[in-house]
Amino acid sequence: MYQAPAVPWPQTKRIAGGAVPSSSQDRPSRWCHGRAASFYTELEHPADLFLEIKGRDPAELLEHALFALFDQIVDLRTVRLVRRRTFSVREADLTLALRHTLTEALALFNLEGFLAAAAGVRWEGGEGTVGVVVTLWGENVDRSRHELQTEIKAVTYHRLLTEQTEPGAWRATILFDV
Amino acid sequence: MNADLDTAGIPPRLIPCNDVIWEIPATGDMRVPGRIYATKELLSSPGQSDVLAQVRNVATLPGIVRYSLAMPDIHFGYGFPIGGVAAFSVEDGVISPGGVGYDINCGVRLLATDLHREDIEPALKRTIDQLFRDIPAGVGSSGAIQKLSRRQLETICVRGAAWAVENGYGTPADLERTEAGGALPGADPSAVSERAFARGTDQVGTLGAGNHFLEVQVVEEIFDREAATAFGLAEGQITLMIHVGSRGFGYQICDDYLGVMGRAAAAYGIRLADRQLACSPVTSPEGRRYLAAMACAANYAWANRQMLMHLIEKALLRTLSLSPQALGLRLVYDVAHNIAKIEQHTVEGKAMTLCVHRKGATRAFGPQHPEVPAVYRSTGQPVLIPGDMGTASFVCKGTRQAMEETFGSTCHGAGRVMSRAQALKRARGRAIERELGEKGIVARAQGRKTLGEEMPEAYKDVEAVVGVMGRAGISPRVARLRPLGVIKG
Repeated sequence: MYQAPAVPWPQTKRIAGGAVPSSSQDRPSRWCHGRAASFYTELEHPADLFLEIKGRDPAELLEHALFALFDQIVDLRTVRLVRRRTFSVREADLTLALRHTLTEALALFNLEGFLAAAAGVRWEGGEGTVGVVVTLWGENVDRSRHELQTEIKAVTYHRLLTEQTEPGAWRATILFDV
Repeated sequence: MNADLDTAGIPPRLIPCNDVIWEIPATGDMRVPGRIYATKELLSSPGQSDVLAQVRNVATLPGIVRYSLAMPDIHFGYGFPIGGVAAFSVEDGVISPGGVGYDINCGVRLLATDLHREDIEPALKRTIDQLFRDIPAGVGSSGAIQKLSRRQLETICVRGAAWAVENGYGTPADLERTEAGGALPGADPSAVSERAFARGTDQVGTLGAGNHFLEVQVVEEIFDREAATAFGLAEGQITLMIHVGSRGFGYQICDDYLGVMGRAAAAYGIRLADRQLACSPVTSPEGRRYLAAMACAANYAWANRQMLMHLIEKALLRTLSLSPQALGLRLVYDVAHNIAKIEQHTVEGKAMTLCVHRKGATRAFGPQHPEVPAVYRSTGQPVLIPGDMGTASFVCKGTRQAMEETFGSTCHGAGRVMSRAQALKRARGRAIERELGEKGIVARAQGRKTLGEEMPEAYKDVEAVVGVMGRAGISPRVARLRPLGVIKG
């Protein structure tokens, strides 16, 4: 009889969660203050959601991509920073790390109803790989205050790109299946 | 080839065979030609060059048979075009999660009733409001039924719609009128990730968001009386159409296996023109495992649509104060339009076992095919093609010609022509709900942006799309259904 092999699911390490501590060092490095729309642009695509993200460095690029993701799901001005979620991602390159980061953040929404309005991405070393520790601040969905807007099915590999366009300027494109 | 057709405005390297069939010759890495079903007008719509590049990319995959096919509702997808059909030899071909899509077994279910237009019109608004209350819809919608246990979910993975029927949510006749009997064989829950199970636990019986919908419709015109009678449809009759798939359960399975297939493609030395075309040989361990997981999601989707049918019946009985006999709700047919299936086809006189990918394409099996339900075997299977929410949807029928030309496949809808952002821009300052109301259509949506994104102008002309497949002899029209009420997520 056919024996299916084990599938190597993407490795994500969940590090911490729970309420936001009061210590200032645990506060987000970037809080979008409801300005997520200024960090990204929606590009033309007939069926799905195609976004261009910009940042000054790879960490900021990832943070802005996270804001863009949650900005499509909910009006970020309605999200309070009362809970924190942290996870780490390691991939072969920045582009895959971007997709993996967004996929993990989307899973937090899909599985726990977690909405983030602030993010901090910390770079971790690693030879030949890109490792990041992502901390998100926000709260769980409260239907009385949060109007959910777009159902994002997945972060696709299609037209997935990260590039440095000039010193101090990074750009990514991402296609969400909606 | 037809050299007399005017090809001005048509993308380059597209050769007309007749006024509705075009070919892209196999050049470069293409293993087979591309074949597109469309009129010149449909081909001239914006963005078609990008779409044709995707048709060409699919034609480069190993083991593809005869053509990389595109239906007239084709539009730009990720990797595979939406509205594409590709059949691969099981012996030396591949299977690709991107050729199925994230929403595995997204599909359409058509319900007929014994009600006529005049029976429902006085209560239309009340009926739509009740359905809107009772059918969970919108982003992350859940809670139609009690959260399912892991064991129940695993049973759904294997039994599909039969699970719902066995639990009192339908009748055995429903299974007979569902593609594949509402359950693909070979489903293996052990091939499904924990994350997929977690996402699927409370979404059976939900509509979701985006372009998914529930419509109350009236049969406006019959084109083929014999087939309409076989399908149980008559002018003035009230029908309901459900468009939804496998929800988060299927999205997660697709996502999990795109990663697996990306690594597998590299390991098997398959060159990919686009990362989203990630694939593996059908007979490889990865390919077989994806097929087993995909079958779980397909079966989940059939259980979902079966459950929704039950919720709809309950809501209608309550609102209209009718007995089940007076309502007469019954399933006409349920079709998948995002799926990969192992099927037998005759290719150039030779019987072949193929893995047929239909991504935004509907099965259209013709008369006497053993997989067509006995009640429809003399006509061919009903083909359900939803249009936009302001125009019409169509019931067509499968043909022998479809078996010969398109691996028994046809279009799946109108196909988007405008991005969501463009549609929202166009909708700014307009009240889409009121515009639909002026056409006699009651519309309700959970999301503020949904009606704008899904406005009728965002889609191609469904009459033109369906007309192409009729003229090509693939899926002639049987009936046109006009929307009276629409529920969107």
